[in-house]
Amino acid sequence: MSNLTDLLSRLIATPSVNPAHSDDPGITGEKRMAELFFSIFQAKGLQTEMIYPMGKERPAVIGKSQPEEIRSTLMLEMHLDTVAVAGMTIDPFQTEITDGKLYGRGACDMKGSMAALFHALTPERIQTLSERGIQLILLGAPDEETGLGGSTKLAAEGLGADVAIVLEPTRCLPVIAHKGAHWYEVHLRGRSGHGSQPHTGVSTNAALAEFLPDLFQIHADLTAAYQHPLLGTSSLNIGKISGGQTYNIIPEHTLLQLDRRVIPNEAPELFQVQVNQLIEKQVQQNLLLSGECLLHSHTDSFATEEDSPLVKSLQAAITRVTGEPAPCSGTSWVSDASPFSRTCGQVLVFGPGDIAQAHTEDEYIEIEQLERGAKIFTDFLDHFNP
Amino acid sequence: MSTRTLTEILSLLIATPSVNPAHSHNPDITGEKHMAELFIQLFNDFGLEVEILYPIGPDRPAVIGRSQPARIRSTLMFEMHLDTVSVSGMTVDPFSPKIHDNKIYGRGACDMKGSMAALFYALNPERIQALADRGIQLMLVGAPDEEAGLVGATHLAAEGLRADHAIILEPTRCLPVIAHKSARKYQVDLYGRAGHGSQPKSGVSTNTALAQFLPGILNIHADLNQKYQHLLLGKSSLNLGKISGGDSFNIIPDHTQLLLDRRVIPNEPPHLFHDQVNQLLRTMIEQKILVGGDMHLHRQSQAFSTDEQSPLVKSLQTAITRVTGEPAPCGGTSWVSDASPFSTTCGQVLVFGPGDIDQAHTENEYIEISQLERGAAILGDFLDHVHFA
Repeated sequence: MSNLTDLLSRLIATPSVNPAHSDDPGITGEKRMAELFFSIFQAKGLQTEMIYPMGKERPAVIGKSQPEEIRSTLMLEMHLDTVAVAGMTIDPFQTEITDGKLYGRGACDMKGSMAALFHALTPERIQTLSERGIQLILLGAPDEETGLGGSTKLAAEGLGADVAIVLEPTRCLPVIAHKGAHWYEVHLRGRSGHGSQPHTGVSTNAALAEFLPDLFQIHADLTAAYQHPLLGTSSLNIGKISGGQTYNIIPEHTLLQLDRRVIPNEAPELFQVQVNQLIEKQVQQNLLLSGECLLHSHTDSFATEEDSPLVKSLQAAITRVTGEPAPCSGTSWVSDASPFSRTCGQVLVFGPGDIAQAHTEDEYIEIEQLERGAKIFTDFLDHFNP
Repeated sequence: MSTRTLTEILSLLIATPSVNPAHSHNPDITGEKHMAELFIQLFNDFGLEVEILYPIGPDRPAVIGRSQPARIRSTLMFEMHLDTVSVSGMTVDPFSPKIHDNKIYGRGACDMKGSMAALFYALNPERIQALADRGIQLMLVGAPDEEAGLVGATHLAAEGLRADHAIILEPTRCLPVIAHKSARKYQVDLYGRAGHGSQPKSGVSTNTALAQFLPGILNIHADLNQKYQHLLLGKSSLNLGKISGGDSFNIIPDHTQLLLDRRVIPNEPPHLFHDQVNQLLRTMIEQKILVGGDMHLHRQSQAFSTDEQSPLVKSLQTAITRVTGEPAPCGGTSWVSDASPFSTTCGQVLVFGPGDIDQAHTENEYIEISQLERGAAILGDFLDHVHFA
């Protein structure tokens, strides 16, 4: 399958670093990748268009097959961008193959998955899908790496399909659930004064001594009440705490940045409501003057039924190719599956490569994974019939 | 000097800018050099023998003036700091003093050029001679760099500058201050292991550790407050001035830093807090709540406490009561002054001066003229009567 690695090398040689991750215009932006996608989609006979969900420098590319009769739609979604290349110990854009691994930025996340899919998608296969009444929708979306920006906008505009596979490195096994990511900013406010007289002010850092244990208690009570068979429990990371200026000034403001990953069966607002109640309690006890817990940003969780036709079809294809069972799993990382779970009937995440190699200084994909991914896509497309 | 009025002396001092170089970059108003030159001239006028030292480097002089009694039975030091805090953001002209509503406005009016003026007004060659006749050598000290952490006084004391009795001039509303808490500033670093915020269990979060560390140190502090109290100073205090841990929402924080300001009463052994926090850190490391952690003393100033019954305190109290007709209760403060370093070299130390510390460092710094006059009268009375057995 040397044309598979050639294809991947060509994708990697087309830089598409997310503009939020680099200032170098020579390597940033999705435009070059979008143009490459455009020509690939056209070569496969798809009706292709560029749309601009986030401004004219940040295109998305959509290619659609044109069956005479559409019984259902199958979307295969990819993100055009990669993370930064600063600090990489390998050449990011000139791929090298050593020890059965192909190195370069995006090899794993997720140009390897693109290559596997493009290799499997021949015009003949697209034609047989059409004959079965399945319209194929290929989507290249911008701005996944800074918070699913492109897919969130596209889903908000109504883009969806009956079933969708979001391509990301899952070691060629189906991922059918993500935790939601809920990022909160907590502001605690007090009253300043000179540090030699702490009792004359209201110290927001002193308030933390009670706030933090109570915050963990709220989280612990929720994880005791809610569990998920694939995702376990929700998690809490206190990513940042920043309060006060220097030694001898009573701090009047403390900021906390929280990253909570929430399982689909826990109502995400429970945590925020209880944290705001905790702040209110501290205000009543005069430990704080005021404060609030604000939702900074969030991505939805999603969970697809294990016995849905999409999951079953993919599992069958995997087992036919590998001879092994294909257990489903869930992740605490998120992908474009989260926004598209709102507009698509069934969604799963699948692709060759291991998430552990994503974003690394020597990002690579095992060629064995790449080939396995291409074979599974081929088998799946040959057999999928919802 | 006797030809100038009290407010004229203060105006001259305020019009001589001496902003601490750590507080401003404007060369026209920073540094103690111009004030030092003025002090040299004044000390010469008083007939004192003048010595110039450079305790913290060139351009940062200290000025010392000494009387020369035939026989020295004891030494009496008046210590002043030459510097002021910055003038940025002031709503009054910092260096062209204005009198309004019986107040003089300008940088340093209260902290502590007002006290200088009161002393210089009270001092004259006759009074200095009378002190000398009683065997008391007068020492006047103008020290640099008080406002950035008692640096000048600390160096001078370390070099052995001392007297049997020392009055540190600072605004105390003309009442004796005989104790300071010590200021002990600690930096605490907690170390963990980073990882992705979506998998908190894969790392060791130093912000999570705070949920145990903060109640722990507040507990240690509360226990010490239970055990140790001081008549004038009350209890030691703790300010968690700064806490800063982690970079962003979705990264497990591997370093959290705390800046603590503890004000410690003289009768609490200062190492106790440090030892107990270190023990808490060791326990948390053993429990794998932290990967590492340490606490170090960033800076400290000495606590001091002078006996209320000492002759220096009694003499000053008597002078105050003679001038004001009121009792002169001693106080203690949680703010510090050059008394802290000089308490290590001097026999008895107190802090005294006109003006209210509440007006120090303010955007419209002033001193009440009634305070200024009271200060000058008290210092004059004190100089006339003080004698040491």
